[in-house]
Amino acid sequence: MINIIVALDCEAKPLIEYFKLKRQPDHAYPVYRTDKIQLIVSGVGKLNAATATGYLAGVNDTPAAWVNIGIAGHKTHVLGTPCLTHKITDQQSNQSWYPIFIFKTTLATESLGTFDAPENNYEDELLHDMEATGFYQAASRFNSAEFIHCLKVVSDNAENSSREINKQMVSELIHEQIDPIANFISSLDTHLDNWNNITATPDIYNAIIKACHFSTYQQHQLKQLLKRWTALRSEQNNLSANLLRLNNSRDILKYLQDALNITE
Amino acid sequence: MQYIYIEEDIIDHPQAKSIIQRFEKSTLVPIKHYGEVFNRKNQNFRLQKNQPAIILANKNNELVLPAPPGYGIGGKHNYYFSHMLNCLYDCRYCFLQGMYRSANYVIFVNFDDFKKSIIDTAAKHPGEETWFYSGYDCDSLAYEPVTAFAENFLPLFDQHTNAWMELRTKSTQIRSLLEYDALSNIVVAYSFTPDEISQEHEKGVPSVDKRIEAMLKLQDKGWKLGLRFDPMIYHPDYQQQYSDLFQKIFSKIDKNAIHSVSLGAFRIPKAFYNNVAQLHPDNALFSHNMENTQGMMSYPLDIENAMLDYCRQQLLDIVPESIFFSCTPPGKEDL
Repeated sequence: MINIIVALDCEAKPLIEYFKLKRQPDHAYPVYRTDKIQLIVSGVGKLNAATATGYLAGVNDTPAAWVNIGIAGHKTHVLGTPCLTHKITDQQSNQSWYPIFIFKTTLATESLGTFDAPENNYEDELLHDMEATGFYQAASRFNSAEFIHCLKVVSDNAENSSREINKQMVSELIHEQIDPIANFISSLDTHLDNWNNITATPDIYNAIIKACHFSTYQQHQLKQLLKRWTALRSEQNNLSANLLRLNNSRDILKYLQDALNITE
Repeated sequence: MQYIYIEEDIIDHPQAKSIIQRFEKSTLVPIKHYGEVFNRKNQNFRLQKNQPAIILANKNNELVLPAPPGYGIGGKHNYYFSHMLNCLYDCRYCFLQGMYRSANYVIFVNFDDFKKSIIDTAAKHPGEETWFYSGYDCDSLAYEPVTAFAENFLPLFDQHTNAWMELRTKSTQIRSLLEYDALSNIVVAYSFTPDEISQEHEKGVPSVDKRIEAMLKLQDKGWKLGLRFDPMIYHPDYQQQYSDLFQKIFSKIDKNAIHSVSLGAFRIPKAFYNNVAQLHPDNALFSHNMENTQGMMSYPLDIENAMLDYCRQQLLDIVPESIFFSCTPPGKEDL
């Protein structure tokens, strides 16, 4: 699952269209989704971004990658330039975070500063936005840094003030960069799927806990033992039948533990 | 190298500049302290191994530390220091992946401070061999073309002969050593596991044959060599595997050029073990049953003893007991 946080409806619009996201009823925020992507419109500012991120995590607890997509200012970059971020700094607290890239991307990466109000002073070579640090701090609660990113499209610069931005222009800027945005999301999704497959609970787990009563602690033990079994012995053909024949949780756990022993 | 993080205070440090020059295409990211990137929670060591970054930093304190118990080759005074945290290689049994949150390579550039600390520490033991291990938190030589670590530190040990250094490595990056006259107080110690185990569990590491080739070149130049079979990794056919390895090494390396041989069981602190097992649930190495002895996870005692006894005997058939050392973790000496 890819969770996308955007501040504005006009930033969301081209993403909703491209990914064919459907509006979900009965939510405190505008939430759109397919079976692979969820998008929430947070409103402007880092507090809104943080609360919307937390809200989206509560809607669906599937392990997800998180992307904050939106517009940003930059002193020199041409309008429409798409950028990922390798450093995001809260301009009020001066605290920084460092998104981690585990695959090569064709997009450039930049440092970004999150401001509390629109910033028209383009002194630093920084992307300027108003959400990234709120989003990033909140999303860091829900997955590791490799799966949390900010992707910004330059909407204003030293020659084109943020005061000139309007809704249509924002939608067009995002729409024009939809291919690199989609490519990045696709790569992120591939890596997330790989990781989720590595850490997934083996398929037979559910069949076993349905058949026998396992305490919460035993369920944890069972998961771990089944993962170890899978790592050591790829074949699971007879395992399910052998385990279910044992009838009770203690014997099932003992069977697995014994099978995993190293012997001389 | 896509990213180089650098502490703002060392942007003008000559060592930092020289490393940055090697990576012209890398993006330079200023940071306040390496811990901001390296120690942050919610990172995935395994995923970062896909594309590690360099972190250039200054080490401000605890530059030289007492060596952990059981880590030594007979010296009375044992210390270690780390010019680098993490390793280019990806050995599945390595404790670093459980100890650190990040797989990025931290390179400390204040070599002069390390040197001063080594000199001060050696001066506490005048006239006595004082050992400094450089390959505890990293491979001593694997990143030599970038760090120039050996190149920088050999002259120091040339001048301070009661200070001994072990360069522990699996690397073939030995140019710095070959260009320097062999020093009597430096031991270049090569770590090995048998071929099959190495191919399965030591990603990116030069083959056993390549390592032996490197040792031969060092032997020819007169460098003292060490052999480290630590940790020993279990294999159902471990007797044949280790026996073949010993035979292969000693059929090429002159046993008289060997300064020391050490043998150590696989062991890893419980907290690190838990971290690694979480990172590699699909790896057989961490799926066998392990035993917890005073917070240290290792193979069941009967297996561990059988492996150690067998390999000790095999090695003592080749090398004298005086150069053989067993690395026993605390709590297991009397078992």
